Amino acid sequence: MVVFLHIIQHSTVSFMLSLRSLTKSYSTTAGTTRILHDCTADIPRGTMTAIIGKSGSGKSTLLNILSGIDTPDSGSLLINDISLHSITEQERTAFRRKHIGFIFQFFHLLPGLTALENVLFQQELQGRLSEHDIRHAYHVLESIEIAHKAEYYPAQLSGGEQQRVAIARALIHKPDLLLADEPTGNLDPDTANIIFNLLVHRIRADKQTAIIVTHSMEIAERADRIYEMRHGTLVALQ
Amino acid sequence: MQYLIRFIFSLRSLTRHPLQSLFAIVSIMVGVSLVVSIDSATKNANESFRSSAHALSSSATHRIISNSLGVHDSVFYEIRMTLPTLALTPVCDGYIALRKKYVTSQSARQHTGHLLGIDALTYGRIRTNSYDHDYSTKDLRTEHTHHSSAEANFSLVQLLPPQLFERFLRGDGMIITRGLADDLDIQTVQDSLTVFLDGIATHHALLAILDNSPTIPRDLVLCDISRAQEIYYHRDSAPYPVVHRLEFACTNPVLLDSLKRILPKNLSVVAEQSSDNSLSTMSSAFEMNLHALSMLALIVSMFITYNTVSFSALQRRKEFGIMRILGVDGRGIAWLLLRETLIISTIASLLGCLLGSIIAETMTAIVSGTINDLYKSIGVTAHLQWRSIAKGCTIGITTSCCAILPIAWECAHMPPRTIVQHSTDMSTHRSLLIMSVAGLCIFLSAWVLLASITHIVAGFVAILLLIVGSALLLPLIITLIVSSVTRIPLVKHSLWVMIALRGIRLSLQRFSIAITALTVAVSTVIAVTIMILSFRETVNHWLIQTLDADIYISPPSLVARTATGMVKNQLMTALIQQTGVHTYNTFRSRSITLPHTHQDRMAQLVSLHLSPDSYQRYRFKEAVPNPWKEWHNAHTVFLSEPLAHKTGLHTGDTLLLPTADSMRVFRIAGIIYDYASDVGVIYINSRHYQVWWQDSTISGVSLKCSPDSIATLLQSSRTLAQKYGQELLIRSNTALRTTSLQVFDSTFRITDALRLLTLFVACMSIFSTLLAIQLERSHEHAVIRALGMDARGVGKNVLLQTTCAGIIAGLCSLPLGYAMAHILTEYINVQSFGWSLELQVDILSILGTLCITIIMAVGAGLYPAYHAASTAIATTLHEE
Ligand SMILES: Nc1ncnc2c1ncn2[C@@H]1O[C@H](COP(=O)(O)OP(=O)(O)OP(=O)(O)O)[C@@H](O)[C@H]1O
Ligand SMILES: [Mg+2]
Repeated sequence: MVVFLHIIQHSTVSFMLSLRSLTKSYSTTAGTTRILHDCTADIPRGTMTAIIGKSGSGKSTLLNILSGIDTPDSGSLLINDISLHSITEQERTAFRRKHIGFIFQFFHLLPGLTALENVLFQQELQGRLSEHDIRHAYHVLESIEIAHKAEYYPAQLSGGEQQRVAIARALIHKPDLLLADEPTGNLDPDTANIIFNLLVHRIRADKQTAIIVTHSMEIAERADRIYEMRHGTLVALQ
Repeated sequence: MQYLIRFIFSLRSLTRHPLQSLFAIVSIMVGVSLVVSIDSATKNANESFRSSAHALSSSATHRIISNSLGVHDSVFYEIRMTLPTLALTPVCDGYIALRKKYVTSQSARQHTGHLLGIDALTYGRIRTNSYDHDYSTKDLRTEHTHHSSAEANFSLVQLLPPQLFERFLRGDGMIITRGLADDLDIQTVQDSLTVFLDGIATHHALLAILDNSPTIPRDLVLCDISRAQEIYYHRDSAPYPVVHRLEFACTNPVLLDSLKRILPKNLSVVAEQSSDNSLSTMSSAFEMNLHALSMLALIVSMFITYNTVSFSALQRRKEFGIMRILGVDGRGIAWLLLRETLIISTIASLLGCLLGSIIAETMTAIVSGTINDLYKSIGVTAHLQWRSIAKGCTIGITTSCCAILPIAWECAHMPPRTIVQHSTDMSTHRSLLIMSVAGLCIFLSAWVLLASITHIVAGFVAILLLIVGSALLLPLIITLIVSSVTRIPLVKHSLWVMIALRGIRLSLQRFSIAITALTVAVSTVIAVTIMILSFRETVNHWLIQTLDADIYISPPSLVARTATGMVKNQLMTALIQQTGVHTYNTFRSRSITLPHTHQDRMAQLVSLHLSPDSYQRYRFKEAVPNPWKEWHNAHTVFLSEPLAHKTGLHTGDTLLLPTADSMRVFRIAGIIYDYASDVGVIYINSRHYQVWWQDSTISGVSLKCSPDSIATLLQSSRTLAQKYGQELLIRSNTALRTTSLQVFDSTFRITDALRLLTLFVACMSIFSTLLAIQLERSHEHAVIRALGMDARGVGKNVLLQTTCAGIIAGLCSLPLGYAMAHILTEYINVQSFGWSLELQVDILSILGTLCITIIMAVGAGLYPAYHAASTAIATTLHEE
């Protein structure tokens, strides 16, 4: 009975993410440019979504808005039934810390921390670190085959290695929503493939909701659904 | 054209980093202003000091002075009769306190004037030779105010309208300058003056007010010799009228010889030059003190300028690396840097001079206040010192350009790839080691220098070496501190703390600069604090030991440190004969010129009448076996420590002194610790002084009595003074000690100002470096925020980092400050004053300084923390 109710609840709120008419423009001295223009989409829980689009079409901008580190000009965004942009900055930060994992386009590892510590830092943000956390972090690093460089500083790692650490960092706290901005964009096709496989493996294993921005159609095709960012709107391709 | 484009390019790059350029400019500006203000204050003070010594002695070549009291009036007439060709004039010359008459309220300020009593008829003969032509065309009909040209000087007396001149000759009144009149709130000559000397008041009419002129000392009070004699009459306490000296101009050796032959034995002829010398040596110790301060200020501000410039270049290494890759050669970059530095430092130096000349006025006031307390009353006028400004500009620009050279060299010689790669500048272990070894060597060389050369300059060079050495050592020290702290388990498990600490390691070069700046400034403050404290404690100790009487009586003195006034004779007798007085001591203090073998040095001759129970209050640095037995010997003197140090004399040596009738040999039976005067004191038994110098006047008396009669004696002494018409300072033991310490403290007021300025400069510099470091870290902050740390957490992280920097700086400045204090007290003080001081370290004030350091670092971190907390995450991430 309890199990049943649980399922019911989930099926009524079947969408992890729902975007309604999101707009965003940037104004510079050269004038105002509209980047996002009525972005609307529903993303079901536990699915993997790919977003493709031309360079400069606003994919990173959209991910920033989805993660709450940027705000839309108008429109609404519900994540887990929470309207992300009508809560306070403080609450939004707490939400991001707890529910979102972000793999940045340019890794963005903290230079002062080792690979392991970079991963652990995300965990520390959740609360005090325990021995178990350290073991867990090590385990995650192992699962994406970078554990042997756990004590290295980012400056001492190659691009691919940094990307693996960044992935581990985004996954360590088992976020409900994983946002990945071209997680393999800076890598050669072979490495890209290996890393992407590891990522997909983890996502599927943990049944996470994931949104992945990519230029590669090959990668996009492995997602459950594909959107294209075109003239500031999301167009469903599948 | 090409140069113009390059110039514009440099300007562009400066405006592209407005904040950095601003900080660089402000730091250099403050440093330069420090140099300019202290330097011109010193110069102003010196000039006034010198001009008040020189202005009154221009064309006379010789002086006839007495070694006891003044020169007898009759001598003047005798010489004129015998040698009618000699242009001779009598002069009375001294300092007095002035007030506008009938202003009785306590609020009316008393001012100090330089009283010059002259005989206008004869004075003109030797004074005006070179000025005559100036007045032929001058119209001087205005009765009361005389517009004199700058060269007018004192020959103006000759040009007073006949009726005024006559009044002047009759001794009807005084002439003062417009400046002094303003100070005294006197508008017209209808007002009159009250003059105080040794607490005795006399009233005088005003004859004229001279317009201000740079050649006339502002504090000049001119009157006829007869009037001056009246004012001084009580002092001379001689049965005959005296003048202070006779002046004459004479280049004929035969005439000079015949003059010497007819001169009474107690008078001597000195060349004008040598008497000037002795005047100027009096100020040299204080000058040294000022030089010490401005040297310190200079070192600190040079260092901070260096920091600022090298920091802003360091920040742009990446940009230079890209330019190198794009094809600009190393020399091009070096020139670019140099050009930019030149622009920035020129702007900053000019602004610094502006600021400096504003501060200089306050500084001058402080310095002149100190001089008045210590040596003599002079009115110091603050005017712009072009040489100080030139000095400030030169130092600002050269230091900046020198600072940029190693960095320009580095950027020019590095392979472009490495410059770009180093987004962080984690220095290699090798370079750290090399720097530290160099630092240690420089440290050692400082001590070697001190051990081998005993000159004051060596002391300052050693301080500079200490600073440079510690700047080289600091990166290693910081690395060691940070890495040992990160090993502490509690810290190790908090990545949040780790980010802050490792951040210091990562930006080691930048943090080193910030921490070094703070360390140098704070250690300077600590050093000066320790020095003053040691000084003060030593003096206090000495005062407690020396002041053993219960009541001290002396006439008010214009100069706090020397009491050369005189107590009226009958009053003196009445004072010591009061009932309740157990024993009494008297002293008579006068200045004396040491013979040529001691560079005509000026010293204080103090004649003491001591009751035997006072003997034990004197502490000897060295002495013959039974010094107080020797004391009764007619040819025995004691020297004060500074004088012994300056003259190199020791116990057992002999000293030639000019007594009333001839030079006499005295034996030094002991060297006494004395902190009252850096001029140097010779002590002599009053019984013998009165014979040798034929002077029985008394400058002051101290009374011993039973504790319960102190109050009544104080009261009755005051009544006595009133009865005899002399205003006296009658103080209890504690009151005198308090005033003495107050005088001491005022000596160091200039130092306080310097300490504040140093801290301010340090504040500026660490604020700018910390802000720059945090601006560079803003990307990292954005990442941390994106990962889910709230704004407060980021702000706290920045504060944690800056606090750590503050703590490290505080810790490092303790030993450095102590070492500098050691040099200041043991070398520089000894070389310039000759006092032995015991190094005193007050834990509380040191802890206080430590706290201030940390507070400064935290304060400097507040804005950067706020800035970090309000990072726009998406934009900042996008920028990278
Ligand atoms: N902070 C900003 N200020 C001004 N314009 C911005 C800002 N951030 C992004 N833009 C503009 O928005 C547009 C979209 O940027 P965005 O980074 O979202 O593109 P993208 O689709 O991720 O491109 P790429 O595939 O190259 O990463 C760009 O044209 C960029 O110039
Ligand atoms: Mg992008």
